[in-house]
Amino acid sequence: MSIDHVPSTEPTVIEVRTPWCPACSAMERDLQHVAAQFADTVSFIQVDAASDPGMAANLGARSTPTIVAYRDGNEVYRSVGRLTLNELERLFAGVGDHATFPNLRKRDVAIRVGAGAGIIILGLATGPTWPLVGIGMIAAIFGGVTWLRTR
Amino acid sequence: MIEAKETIVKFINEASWDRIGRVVLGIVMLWLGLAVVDGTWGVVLTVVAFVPLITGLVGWCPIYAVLGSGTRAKDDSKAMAA
Repeated sequence: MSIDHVPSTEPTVIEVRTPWCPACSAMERDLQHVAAQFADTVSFIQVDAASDPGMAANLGARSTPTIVAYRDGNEVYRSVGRLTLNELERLFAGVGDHATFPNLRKRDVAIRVGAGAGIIILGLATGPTWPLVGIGMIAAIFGGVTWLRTR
Repeated sequence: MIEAKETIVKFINEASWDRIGRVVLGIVMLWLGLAVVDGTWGVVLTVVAFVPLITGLVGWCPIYAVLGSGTRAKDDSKAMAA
């Protein structure tokens, strides 16, 4: 799959590699095998750090091979170095499984709604200070929208 | 092309402790600016408070992105189950 077609919500595994990286070459066969095995459920993308260093930097890859997995637009897994066939199979199987890799967006919801509630309470307790209450409501709504998007 | 890159770049680069710290700092500064400190300093505190508050709520720090660093990878990267 081309990097032009990165899905925003689908489970996606990205490998950042270079043509001269021995560990990348050693893992290539297993990676292609597992990617083909899970092609229906997990998108697989390879980024060549040599030809696209900007993308590699955007992905936070400082050495190769770096494997990053995304679900719902959030990073749920990252590793550097060669993975075995068994580890790759568990990774691809786990990317789509919330039990293996908990959805980090739940944390977003907790932080945003919690912050909103805290600001509202603080605003009501100090006066009330209505600008604080308003800002708290915006934060809480932000968390609510995040929660709705994860359902 | 641009759309795809933006989707990837938008990933969270702050660890949970970092985000909570920013949110708490932002709330305290907001409270000081709006309810405690009067005058120019109150306005300054209120405006500046939005920086840690918003970066904490969103989970993405532009300075981390520019520097290519972040606290997220150290905290949240998942090790493979044995």
